[in-house]
Amino acid sequence: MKLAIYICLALVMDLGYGYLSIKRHTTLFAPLNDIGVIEWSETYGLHNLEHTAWFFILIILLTFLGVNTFICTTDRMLVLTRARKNMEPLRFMFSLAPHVMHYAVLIILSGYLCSYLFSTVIPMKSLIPGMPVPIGNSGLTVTMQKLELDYYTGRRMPLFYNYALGVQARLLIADGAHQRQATLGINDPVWSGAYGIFLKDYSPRKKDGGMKRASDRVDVSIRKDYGVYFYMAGMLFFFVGLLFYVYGMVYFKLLKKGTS
Amino acid sequence: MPTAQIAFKLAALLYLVVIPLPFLTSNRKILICGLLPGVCFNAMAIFLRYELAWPMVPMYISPVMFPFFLGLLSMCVALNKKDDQSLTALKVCLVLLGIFSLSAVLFPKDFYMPYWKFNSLFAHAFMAMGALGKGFFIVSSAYAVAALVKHRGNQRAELYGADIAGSFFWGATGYAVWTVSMFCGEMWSYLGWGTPVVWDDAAILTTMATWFFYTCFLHLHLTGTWSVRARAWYAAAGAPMIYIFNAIPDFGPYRALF
Repeated sequence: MKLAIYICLALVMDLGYGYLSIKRHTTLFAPLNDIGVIEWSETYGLHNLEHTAWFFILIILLTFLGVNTFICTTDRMLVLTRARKNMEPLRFMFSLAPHVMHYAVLIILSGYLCSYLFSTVIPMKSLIPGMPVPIGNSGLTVTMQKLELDYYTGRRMPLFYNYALGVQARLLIADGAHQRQATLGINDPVWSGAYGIFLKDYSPRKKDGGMKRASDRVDVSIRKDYGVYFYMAGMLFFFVGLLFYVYGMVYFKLLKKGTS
Repeated sequence: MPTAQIAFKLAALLYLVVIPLPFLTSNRKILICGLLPGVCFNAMAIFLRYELAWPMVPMYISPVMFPFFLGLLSMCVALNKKDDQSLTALKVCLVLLGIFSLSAVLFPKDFYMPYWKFNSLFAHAFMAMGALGKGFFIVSSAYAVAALVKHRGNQRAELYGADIAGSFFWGATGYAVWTVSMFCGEMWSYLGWGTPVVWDDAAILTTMATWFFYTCFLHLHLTGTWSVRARAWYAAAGAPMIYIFNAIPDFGPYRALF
């Protein structure tokens, strides 16, 4: 337990240093959004150690924390499981809650590891109406059929007058013999199998704006990332564990008040 | 109708004016009434900022939103008559509220247009719950300071432990809210950018650092690893930690009051 505490404190200091490093050298770290951690290390990471060392320390510390958490949590789970027969079912469930949260953190960290090691990212594809665009070696072809822009015409936000604040790109996704339609929007990606299509930019931003030759355009990034399932599951488990823990605290506090 | 800037300056002024109040009276109704005008003007400032940005999140709204939540939570602390630490904790809360709101007034970052990707329920939840979580952390720190002040030189652990229970409650609640805020931020980041962590924005690291700080806080308290006094000091360090890691990164250039 002491080890976990000192690792957490070390993480606080390392992340604090990392903040200053990213603030001053954003261009070194921005590629991490699109390339895996190994490719990043071989290019930016290891060749700028004076600015990136904190990131490698972060990975080491998170590894130690993960291993420590797994060992301690499993040890306590075994003790709890053995004591289960002597406990009320409700108390047993509430006692499980912190351990669910600990395992959830491990699942989240595994998700991140999976993402940064194994995901495939196509950082930029531009879609214009009617032009099919193949997606890498996936066999998928994406065609933007129509771009609908919702322009703001109110008076509440004068700086945004005639600005497109809503975007709906109607896509046709073809996978060999099959085709399906989907709508891509702001913070509203489209999934096709393992691939996610995310809106990065669009044009024109303003009504009657943009170059006349290719005025309707969306830029997308396409990702194949299995890690996302892990960290979504981890977040869900953590949230459930948290709810159980809070509910248990309140329940037994009220019970104690009632009996006393 | 005042502008958002004027409303927030008024709120900060009212927060500063109310700082001496708990030193002059322990009447809870007076204390709450003293806080109310500042909280109302703060709410107005948030509303006016949102009016110019909705459905997007106003950029750097957290320095304006956080004092609002801290003001509300301070009123909850004032309402707590059963806890004999609450008056001292309230004094600390009001001093910190004055510091945070004055800093936000003197170093505003309210000159950015909202960004179109900030149009997301997750973005709104991330900002609001983050500001609320910070409020809980500050109150936790205030209760820890109250315990340290009350038991200066007193090494009787059983009394001390009971006094730090308030700090733990507020800190644990803040931790839950902060965690949900982080999850909302990750969901927004994933839906908008395709990845839960965007490395262009350094603020993600201070958010994680705060989470690990309070993870440590919970473990220290629940496992009793350090002495009670050391745990109280750790909890009290939460306030400067929040200021350095979460307030300063949101500061803009200095702007004179008039």
